[in-house]
Amino acid sequence: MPGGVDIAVAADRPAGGPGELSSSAGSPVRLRRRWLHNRSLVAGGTILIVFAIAGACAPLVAGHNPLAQDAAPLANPSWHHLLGTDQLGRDVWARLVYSIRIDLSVALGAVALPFIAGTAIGLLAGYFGTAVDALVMRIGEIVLAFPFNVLVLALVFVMGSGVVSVLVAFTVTGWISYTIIVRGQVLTERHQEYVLAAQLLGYSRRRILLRHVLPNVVTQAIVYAMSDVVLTTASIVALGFLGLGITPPTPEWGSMISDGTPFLTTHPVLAAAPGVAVVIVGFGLSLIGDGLADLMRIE
Amino acid sequence: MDDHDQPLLSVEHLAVSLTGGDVRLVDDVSFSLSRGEALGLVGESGSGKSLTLRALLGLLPKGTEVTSGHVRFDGTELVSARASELRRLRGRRIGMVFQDPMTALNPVMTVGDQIAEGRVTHLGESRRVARRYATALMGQVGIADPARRARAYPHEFSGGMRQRVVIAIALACEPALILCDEPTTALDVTIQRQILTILDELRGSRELAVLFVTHDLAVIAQICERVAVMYAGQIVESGPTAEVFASPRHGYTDGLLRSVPDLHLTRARLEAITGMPPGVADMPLGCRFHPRCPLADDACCLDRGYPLRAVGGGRRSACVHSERVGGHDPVVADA
Repeated sequence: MPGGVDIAVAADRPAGGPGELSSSAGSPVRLRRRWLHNRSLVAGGTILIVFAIAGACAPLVAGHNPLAQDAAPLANPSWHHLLGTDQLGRDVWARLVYSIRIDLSVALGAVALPFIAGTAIGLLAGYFGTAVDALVMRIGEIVLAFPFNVLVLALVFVMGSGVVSVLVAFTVTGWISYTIIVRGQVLTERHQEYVLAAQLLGYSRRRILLRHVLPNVVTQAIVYAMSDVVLTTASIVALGFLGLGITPPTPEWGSMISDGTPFLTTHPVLAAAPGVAVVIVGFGLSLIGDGLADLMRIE
Repeated sequence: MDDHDQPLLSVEHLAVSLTGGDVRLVDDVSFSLSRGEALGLVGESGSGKSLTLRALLGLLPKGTEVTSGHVRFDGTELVSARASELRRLRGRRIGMVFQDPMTALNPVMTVGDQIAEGRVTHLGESRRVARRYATALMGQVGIADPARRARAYPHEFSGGMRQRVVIAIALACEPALILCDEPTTALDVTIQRQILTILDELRGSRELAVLFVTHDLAVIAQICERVAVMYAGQIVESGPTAEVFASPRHGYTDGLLRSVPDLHLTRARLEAITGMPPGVADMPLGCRFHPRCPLADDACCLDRGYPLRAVGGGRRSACVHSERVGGHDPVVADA
């Protein structure tokens, strides 16, 4: 166990005495070392960084324009087209690489927005309680009563496909999980003496909420977000597969899989390549989530 | 108290009640405190001492409110003060030391930042300057190697060290008054002594007024010049600590002192006050202590208030039989 328990017995002796020092687990150096020693975190992080760099440098890595329909359709993999071409003569490798941009950023946005909204609402509901709290939780329960994916599908269907409606749909359906987590934590934390202490020390409510309560309750929400991002990525790809998410011809894994299915028997690479990419990204994100959860538990 | 012309804190006829009810949890409490003075407020659990403390800062628990009385701090009336005015006093002019140092600190903030926070928010200092002050303060309250320890988190400190941090936080803005709510109850006896010594030194060097709430008579004897004894929401006796403890003038104080174990006296059995403190809803008529008091007679249960009255030597007692208290057992005369 990397120094979870510290020598708290740091000797109650008067000033001037030698005073044993406990190791400071909080120092930045120690923290960094612990992060780097966490295998899941390092492995997951590496996977994600590789994907992120590939996405960021897509024009270099891809080698082809993902939208250009200038090659022979349904060509087999070759040196010129690493993964062959699809039925419209577009380079599959190029489309795969460019998809990272849209899929990853939409997935991150679709987790970050509900995370921020849900945490803020949970913080306020938990701290101020009473009527606001009751109202928020009832609305949340209504949202929760619908199956998540059905609700997202319905919302995207109503608003029309596109990045904005995907983000809105995930925020509207996803905030409640964060609110429940954060609110519960705030309810227990609110009665801790240090919160009362902060009030007695004359700090403003905003300061108490943001500087004292929030850092103590946000950990759980972060851990949840890391597992949420895996599911969200899969859901976004599923939306693309159903033709509801990101509009064609923007390269996107879901729609690539969907486009590739008619040729599954003759050209399995068309559907398999983006599928494998989704699995690897999901795996990397899960590893990061596990690693972070481990580290946060130690804190 | 007559020799101090302008008290720093004066509480007059303070009453705290349950909201919307007639139940008085703190009833007609008055005391005053001068600069650099230490006053002990002593009483058993539920006697209203902590409630009195929180009423001073305008932070009563939900469901309770101040129904009458005045609290004047350095010329400012606190009972009718606006929330923003109170917030400016809290932490800045009035510090607070809490009972349990294990829970009174924010677990995810370094102690240096927690000490510095008051100076940043109240005095508008930069974080850097405030941190330097915090480090110096940690040295003053007896934390070794403060520059390094300032970057540590509360969980890396022992109980006694944490209580020093709590004291440093209370002192950060150089307040004129600090309120101590049983600051040594959660600590073991040797650490208690160190903490009390620190508080006493600071009181001397900073002209700090200290209001000390506790149920521990030994603690009061160590640090407070004056003491006020609370029972069932009222102050029943007050005066210089040494004299009050040597010859109590109220039956409750007497009972309290008799129930403290004394290593020098070989009494066969430790005395206890008979009965239970009254519930807030069924206060006895007359003196609230009379059902448990060995001196009680018909004069004690009249349907009238039993206010404090002067009994000589700067002392006050609410007991009508104040001169007879302690007389029935000569052994305690030197307690």
